Amino acid sequence: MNEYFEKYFIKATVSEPIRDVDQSSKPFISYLVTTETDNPSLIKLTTKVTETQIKVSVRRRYGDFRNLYHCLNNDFPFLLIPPLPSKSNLKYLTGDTFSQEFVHKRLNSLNRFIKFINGHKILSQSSVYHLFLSDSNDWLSFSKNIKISNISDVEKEQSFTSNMVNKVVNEELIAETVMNFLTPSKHKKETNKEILEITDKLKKMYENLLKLDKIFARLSKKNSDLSIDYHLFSQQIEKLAVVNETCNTDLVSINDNFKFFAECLNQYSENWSKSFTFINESFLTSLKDCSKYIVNLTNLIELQHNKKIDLQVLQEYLDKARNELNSFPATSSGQGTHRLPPSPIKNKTGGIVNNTTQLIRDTLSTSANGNISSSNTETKRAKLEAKVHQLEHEVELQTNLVQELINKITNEEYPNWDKFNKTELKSSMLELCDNQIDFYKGLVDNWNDTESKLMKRINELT
Amino acid sequence: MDHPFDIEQDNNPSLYGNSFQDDQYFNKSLSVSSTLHKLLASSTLQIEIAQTEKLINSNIIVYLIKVFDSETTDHIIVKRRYSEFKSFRDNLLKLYPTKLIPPIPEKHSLLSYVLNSINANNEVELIGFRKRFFNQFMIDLIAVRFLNSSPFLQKFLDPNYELCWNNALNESPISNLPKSLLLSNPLDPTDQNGLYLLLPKINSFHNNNLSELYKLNLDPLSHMNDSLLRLSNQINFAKFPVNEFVTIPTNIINFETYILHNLKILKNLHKYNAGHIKNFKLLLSIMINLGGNLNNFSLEIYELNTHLSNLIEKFGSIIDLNFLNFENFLFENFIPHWHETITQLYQYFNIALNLLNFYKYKILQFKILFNTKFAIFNQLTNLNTSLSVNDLNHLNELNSPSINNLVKSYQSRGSLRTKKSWFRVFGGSNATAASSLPSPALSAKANNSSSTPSTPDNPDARIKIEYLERELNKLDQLIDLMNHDLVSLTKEIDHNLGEFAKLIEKKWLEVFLNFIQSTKQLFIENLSNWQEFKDAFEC
Repeated sequence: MNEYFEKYFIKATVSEPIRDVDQSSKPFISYLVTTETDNPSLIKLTTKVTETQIKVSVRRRYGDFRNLYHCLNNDFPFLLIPPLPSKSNLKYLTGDTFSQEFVHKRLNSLNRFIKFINGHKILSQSSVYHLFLSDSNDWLSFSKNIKISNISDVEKEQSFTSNMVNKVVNEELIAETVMNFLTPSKHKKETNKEILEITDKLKKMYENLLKLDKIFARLSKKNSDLSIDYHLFSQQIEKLAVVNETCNTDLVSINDNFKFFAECLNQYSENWSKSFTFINESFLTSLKDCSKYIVNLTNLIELQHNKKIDLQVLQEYLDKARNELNSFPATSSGQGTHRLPPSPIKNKTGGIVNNTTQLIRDTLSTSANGNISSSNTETKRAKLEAKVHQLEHEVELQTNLVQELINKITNEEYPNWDKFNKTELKSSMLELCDNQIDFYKGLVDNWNDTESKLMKRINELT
Repeated sequence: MDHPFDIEQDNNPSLYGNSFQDDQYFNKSLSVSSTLHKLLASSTLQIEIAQTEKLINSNIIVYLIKVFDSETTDHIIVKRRYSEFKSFRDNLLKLYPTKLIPPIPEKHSLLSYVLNSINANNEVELIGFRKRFFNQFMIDLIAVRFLNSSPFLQKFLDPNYELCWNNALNESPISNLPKSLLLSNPLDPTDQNGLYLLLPKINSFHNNNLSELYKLNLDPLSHMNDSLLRLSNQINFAKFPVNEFVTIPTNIINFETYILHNLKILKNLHKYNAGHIKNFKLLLSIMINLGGNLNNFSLEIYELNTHLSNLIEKFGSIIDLNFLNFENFLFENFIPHWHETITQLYQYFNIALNLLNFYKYKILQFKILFNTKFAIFNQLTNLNTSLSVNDLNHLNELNSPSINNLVKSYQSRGSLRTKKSWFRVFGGSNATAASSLPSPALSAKANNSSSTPSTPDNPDARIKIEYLERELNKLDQLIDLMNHDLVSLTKEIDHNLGEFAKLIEKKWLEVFLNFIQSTKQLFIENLSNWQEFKDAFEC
């Protein structure tokens, strides 16, 4: 896979949202996903099998993106899956999902979603993604089929990992609560130095992004206020022109002055409004998305953390079992199990963590069953030995898993995110910069023109 | 050349009593006065409020007016305080009631009120505001060229009068002003013609307070024109001599609607300006906040990512720079040039409305004269009808064309007894016009005698008739005078409004240009900042 990532490119972008209607004539928005690639494993799946470099475009709607997201989440539990823009239930209620603002914000986020996958070594080579990009009908039939399993999946996920999903859904509320994991109490328990460092950095970045987000939200609001102000000015000046026209027939030349100036003000007002739209729809969305990516990465770290706790519990249990085994002839059977520590994981949540919890539960129940059913100490002993063996195996497995996860995070997922975050922030600053340059450039040119017109008139007067 | 400040010191009699050297004093003050004369006559005359000062041991702020010539080094500096500006302007208005004297800030203007409520540090802002306003006042004032030769203006600018401004207010020409401007020649209130004192007073015209006239609600000019039309019909009917002043020119009537529309729009603009300034200040505070946060951000991630950190730092400094540009624009351009000029324009239009209201009062006065004339005429008719027709003949000898007319019409119709009284016909019932001329006692008597017809040789009736004749005579003189005045007043107002329209156009143009130039400057600077930021990406 790595080779493919190095060797071939995939360039995919999302654009051109249009309003469409499905079979039951319910309106929806579809987005154009355009892909350029020379990746053979992707080309294979398209209708242009024979070519070596292709450009395909398909229309996908939000649900398709969500299916892709869920598939990736299922297939790569240990990777940072980019967050999707929120489903925004509230907006569905107000019927605002077709407003330009909403669609543009979503478009920007979807684009970022795709961009992240493109830049990811493993995700970009996943067949689900390739299927999603390809223009064959496979994705449609495939996504229809996974829909059923997905729904149950989603439900399961929502009940189990309500934390995680909520974080993404309540986009506007990504506030401090989300950063639970980064609170000092949890922080202290974390022992891995590298992970500690990473969480530190993430925290800093996240807090700053939140602050910026708030300030820019206020700034964009002010931009819109200024736009309204200048519009009001322009209206009044236009009125002056009308008054002049009706009351002062011998001073018609004045009207032109007023009209020129009103036009200027109008342009100024429009530019402020454009600046508002840009900051609101593009820049702010990018800041919000960046912080959501951090949240997702933090979730991954939290998963690692929980895994470690599970491992500890498992280890403790193993120790207990060994003790029990060692002291077996002396002590009576039942007490050992009764003294087993209550599973601390019960209230822990998280998709993968669940497996371990299940495992521990299973072991607990087998041991309990063993206690009750057997009267024969020999069988008990044999069972205990088997359990210890099983636990040892499990601990080893889990240790490897945790180590692998830590390695993944520190060596791949974090650097990858860091790179992505950097380019994202850079490009949004650059975009803002370009936007501002446009803002001023158009004005300077136009106002030069008006200035010379007014100058001419004032020279006539004096 | 002596420094003007020395002269000011010498000029203070209270400091030196009578012991100063007369010759030196006179020479110095004379040379200052002649310099001032020369300056005011110059075509390159310049004027400005150079600075403000707080008088020692008091809270009084004085504004230093500098009069100078851009071609020579001559200059005069005189200190004036707010109340002196105010009395100066009030008296200028009285001296030249037909001119549009530029506005000065109101004592408690809307703006200063807003400033007071927002800013505890308002005094500095208020002084700055007044300084700019007085500056514009002086510039606008000397732009009205003919005023430069006014002795009153010269006294205001003369350092010799700096500490004795009250003297200037008590000397000619101010001392020659009549108690009420309505009782004077509108084109030259110092005109000593005694006839003016006989003009009717109008109660709602308060104590000469010309600057407040716009607050009075008078009929619009178009209505006045209608009533003037009715008046002239009556005049024709009564066969009085036809007036020269018959109607208000449409130009002036249109101008009134123009003024009212403008006032409404300017008021809106003023309101929006206040809102805009508030928004702008909020924008500034957001930008400060943003710049600070970006700097902080760049510091915090410096170790993690130096390149990104540098970019963010640059971003923050660009925001800071733009903040400075925006701040400069707001306080150096938007508030002083745009906002305050609109406030000034609003006052200018009120001044124009003042002028029109003064004009309306003059017209009202004119109508009252006619109403009085009709009333007296009515009385005369009533008295005369009690005499025999033949007796009327002796009236022919009276030197009154109006009586002669009446007698003629009376004789031709035979009798007036069946006709309605003249009084009613001419709307004499319009008693709201508080006229000072017909004394109540007299009219009561006249009514009395008409209700109880007297004998032909009643001497009382004859005396009354003679008295009324004299009154009528005086009225005709007054009507003549006012007729003449109104014609020239109308001409003058028409001309002055034309000048005013030009002034307003120029003011608007200047405001527009300043706005465009200063925002353009803002754009260019911000643009170069952003471009610099963009360059930072490329390297």
